[in-house]
Amino acid sequence: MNLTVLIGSLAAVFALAAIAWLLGMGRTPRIANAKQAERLARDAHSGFAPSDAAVSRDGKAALVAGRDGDFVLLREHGANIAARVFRQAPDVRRDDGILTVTTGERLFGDLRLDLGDTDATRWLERLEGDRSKVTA
Amino acid sequence: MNELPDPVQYAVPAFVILVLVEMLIARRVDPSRYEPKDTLTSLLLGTGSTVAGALTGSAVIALSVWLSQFRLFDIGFVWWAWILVFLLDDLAYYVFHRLAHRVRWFWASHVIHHSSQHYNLSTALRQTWTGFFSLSFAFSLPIVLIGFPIEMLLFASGVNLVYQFWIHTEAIDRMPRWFEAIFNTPSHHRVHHATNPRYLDKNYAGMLIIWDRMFGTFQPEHHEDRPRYGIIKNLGSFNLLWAAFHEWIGIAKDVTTVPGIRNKVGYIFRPPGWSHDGSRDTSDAIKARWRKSEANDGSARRKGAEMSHAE
Repeated sequence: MNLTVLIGSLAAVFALAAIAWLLGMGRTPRIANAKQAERLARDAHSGFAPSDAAVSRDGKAALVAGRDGDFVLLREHGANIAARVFRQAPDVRRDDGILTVTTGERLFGDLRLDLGDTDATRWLERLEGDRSKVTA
Repeated sequence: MNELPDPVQYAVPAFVILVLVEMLIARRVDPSRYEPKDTLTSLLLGTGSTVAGALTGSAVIALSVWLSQFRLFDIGFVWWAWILVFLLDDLAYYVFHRLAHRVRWFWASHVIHHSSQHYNLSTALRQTWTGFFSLSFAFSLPIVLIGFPIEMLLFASGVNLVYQFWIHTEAIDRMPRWFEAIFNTPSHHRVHHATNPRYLDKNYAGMLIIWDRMFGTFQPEHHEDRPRYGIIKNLGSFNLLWAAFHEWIGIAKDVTTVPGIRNKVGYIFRPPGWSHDGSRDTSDAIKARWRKSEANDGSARRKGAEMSHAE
């Protein structure tokens, strides 16, 4: 491979990505409701039995609780949904109606769930309760 | 040395045109099949892979030339050797590919190719940067030792690589039945790229699906179980370097933090997802859980049907 071929390849790469963008490819997905979040969580975590779901009001993320004490975190990634599985309640903090879930992964990032005051408080209490049971 | 053309070099312009054509089809059928950032990541990983190949290719050829002095036979450029070399190279690819999914060392290199959640022609070009480091070239060396000409083997490998480009698409549903029976196809390879438990660790074929049928790793695509693409723990990032090296970094972290030589070796050579404390999932564990939940669902359905029948 010489430099001319490399420059030509890079030009083609950026041109194709630009065309994909100009064509409006890759619609951002939204998580519409708890039922959809539970289905996505089951897809992401084989054998997962969802019991409850907190879906961010902007539809960009959700946290799904499982009957076995496990959790699945969902968030948009490009035109898809990416997930993280927690075998026990994840670390969270609340700022008014926003519940932030810590993933511990810099590139995946922490997740902000806009749940509103009531739901954010309910989920915070639930997750902290679950965590204290595990550490007790 | 007989000079044979590099099939990949000749195919590159066709790759570009076909990606464009598929993109235009996807725009009409399902625009979510392409995502600009994902496309850019895949194509840059492909370009990086070509650069890595150019930097290390001569070392692989030099090693092959050195090894060929120990060859068992002197096979020339005869017609039957061409047939045999294509078959053996494809079989070697099957063995490599199966191990690339079952041994974390090889997976660390191969995972790049699976790390997109999309399945389109740009995914085909999403190739490893660390193939040389992981020693994946070693799987072809026995063919050199048998005595096939190195140029012939390189040509066959190139054709195999070019063949595998077109099967990375959702634009083609099924090929004719006879073709699906013998060759790797978009349908067979969609299964291979899927994370649905039913599809995990299946269809390792390069050009010929017969190897999967022979060695018990064949799985047909089910329309009612639409493939979900990517890896078990999807990256959730378009960072190029993370895509290229994340599993190697994972191995390094595990090996340096876990106690005991046995565990350290396990994190390098046992299947992806293996952990010394059982805190992670291998594909076998995922499949087992899926089978259990399918069986439970099945018995619940049967009970429901019996009850409604009794009413």
